[in-house]
Amino acid sequence: MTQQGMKKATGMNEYQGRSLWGEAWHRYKKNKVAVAGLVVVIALLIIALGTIVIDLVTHESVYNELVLKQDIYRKLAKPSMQHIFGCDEYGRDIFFRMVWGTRYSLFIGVSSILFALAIGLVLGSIAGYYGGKIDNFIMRIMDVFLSIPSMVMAIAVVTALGTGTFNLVLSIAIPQIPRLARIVRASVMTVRDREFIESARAVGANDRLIITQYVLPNAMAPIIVQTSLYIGQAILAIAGLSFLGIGIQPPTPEWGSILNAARTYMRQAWHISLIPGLVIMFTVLSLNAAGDGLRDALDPKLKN
Amino acid sequence: MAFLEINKINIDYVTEDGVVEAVNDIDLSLKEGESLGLVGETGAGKTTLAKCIMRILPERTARINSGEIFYKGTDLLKLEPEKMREIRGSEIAMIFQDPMTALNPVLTVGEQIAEAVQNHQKVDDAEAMKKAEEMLELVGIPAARSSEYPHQFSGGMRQRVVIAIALACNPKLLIADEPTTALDVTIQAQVLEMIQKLRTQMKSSLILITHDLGLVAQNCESVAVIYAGEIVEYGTVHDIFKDMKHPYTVGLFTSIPKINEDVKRLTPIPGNTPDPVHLPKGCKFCTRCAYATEKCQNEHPELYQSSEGHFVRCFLKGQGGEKYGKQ
Repeated sequence: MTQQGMKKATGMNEYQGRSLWGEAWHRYKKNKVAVAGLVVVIALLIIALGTIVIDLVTHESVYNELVLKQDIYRKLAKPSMQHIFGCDEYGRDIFFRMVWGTRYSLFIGVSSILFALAIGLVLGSIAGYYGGKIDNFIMRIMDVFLSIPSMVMAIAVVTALGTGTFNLVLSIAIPQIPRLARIVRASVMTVRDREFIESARAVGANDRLIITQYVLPNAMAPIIVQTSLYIGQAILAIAGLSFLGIGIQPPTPEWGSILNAARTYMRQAWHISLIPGLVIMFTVLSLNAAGDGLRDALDPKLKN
Repeated sequence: MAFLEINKINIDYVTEDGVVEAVNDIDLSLKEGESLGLVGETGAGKTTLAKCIMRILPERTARINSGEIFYKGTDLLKLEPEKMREIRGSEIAMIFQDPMTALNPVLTVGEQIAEAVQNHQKVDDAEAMKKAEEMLELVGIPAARSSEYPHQFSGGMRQRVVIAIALACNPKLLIADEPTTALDVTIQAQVLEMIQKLRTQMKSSLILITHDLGLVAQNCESVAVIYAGEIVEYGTVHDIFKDMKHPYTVGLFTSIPKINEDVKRLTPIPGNTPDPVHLPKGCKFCTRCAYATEKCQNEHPELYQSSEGHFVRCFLKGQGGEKYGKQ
């Protein structure tokens, strides 16, 4: 009894000292789907980092052996005990190609959206908070960017700057900047006129503090969810660019290029299209589930 | 020099329906340590005036046409934004009407008070937090609750937090905008008692905005009755409560029940406040006044001094009010 009482007391203290993110994690844990999504995302991250470490340690010999080496006798082999996902049109093991391909989709997808978010947050919050002429100026430029289809814009950027990982990140990020800026602006505008913003001004808070401490944290929920959705879209966009030959160049095992190469053999070997398709789908799904959970966890009204 | 002096201030709101004249030619002055009550109906322009003093009117719609607000000799309306920011909170602070919406839901109450401190004093986070806890204790909330979020507090507790934020930097002038409207009666009394106590401790002046005449009688030394953006009567609490001159003030008093008189029916003021987009040309109250003459409809009355420090905006010069009350 006393032990239980003690436990409860310390539990209370822990609760009192918890930070905003500590609180959020406490609530996040209760959402099973979100936790599953997060587990998948973390697993993919570990796989991506793991393959990078293996390449560094073995000077890419494992990579050359497992991922790039062709074997015509195994061409389009069905899944078996030796090759659990089967082999592709050059007899390369699809499982290892998928594993080594994780880094491209994940890192380029995440970094391009974070890059777009960084710029979109600044532009959107300035436009939404100040309104009027500044808002018009920023958002009309964003509208010009929005009027160009994102794929065309991405192709234009890659054509102008040349292929390469950083240019690929840019080409995917730039078309997403106006979309994120619009979401941030709309979200900021709903918070801007709330009374606590006025009361923050009344105690002498400056604009920078009001935007970073009062407006953005309260406007974050839709932004977080949209960002996680856009990471999924970015992963699809990388695949699209690879298909057009301006993304990741073969024989690099990028998921999208594996999927696109498999198109030709869909009748003879269904597994080559199915595996990358399923992996991309589950990755995007997990990101969305994790984003949804994060939104719920960060909403203080749902606390306790 | 007066502590706070408001000269001929005019504020409009530009809306789709037209220009709303929210505040018209208001003059007020306040001595150091004095407390002033602003009384009037909803929409009379009380809050607009308060926000104008703080310079936190919505920039997109509000327009200050003319006027000056002198605080310790400097015109607040002409100050640079950064200088004005320094005054807000440290010199002049405001308590907001609705404690449910006046707090940031994503910051703990401790952080919010600490931030108010750090806006004006160069102290590190730990020190600001210590000050925040002191402020919480001062308004009767245990310091241990400083790490809780606003939604974990009741309405009355939140209003205390709002007061703690307002008082965190010992402001010289406190503007309380209907501080008790959102609270129930028992909590109202506690909150006001606390404001009074803290005000005397810190020797700050108070502008109390309310439509509750009882609050004014208890807490203020002078009273300004505002109708449709104008001061219609101004004087000491005694002047207004015992020797009211303007028909509107009289109307306000006949529409509240008295504990020592047996009245079957209260006498309300007929009609509604005029549409602020189309205010009457003459006296703003003429459409509802039982004594309105043709002169009232066409000419705008000036403030008339009926006795030392007691001003009335009425052509009857205080002669009609009593009759109105006896009706």
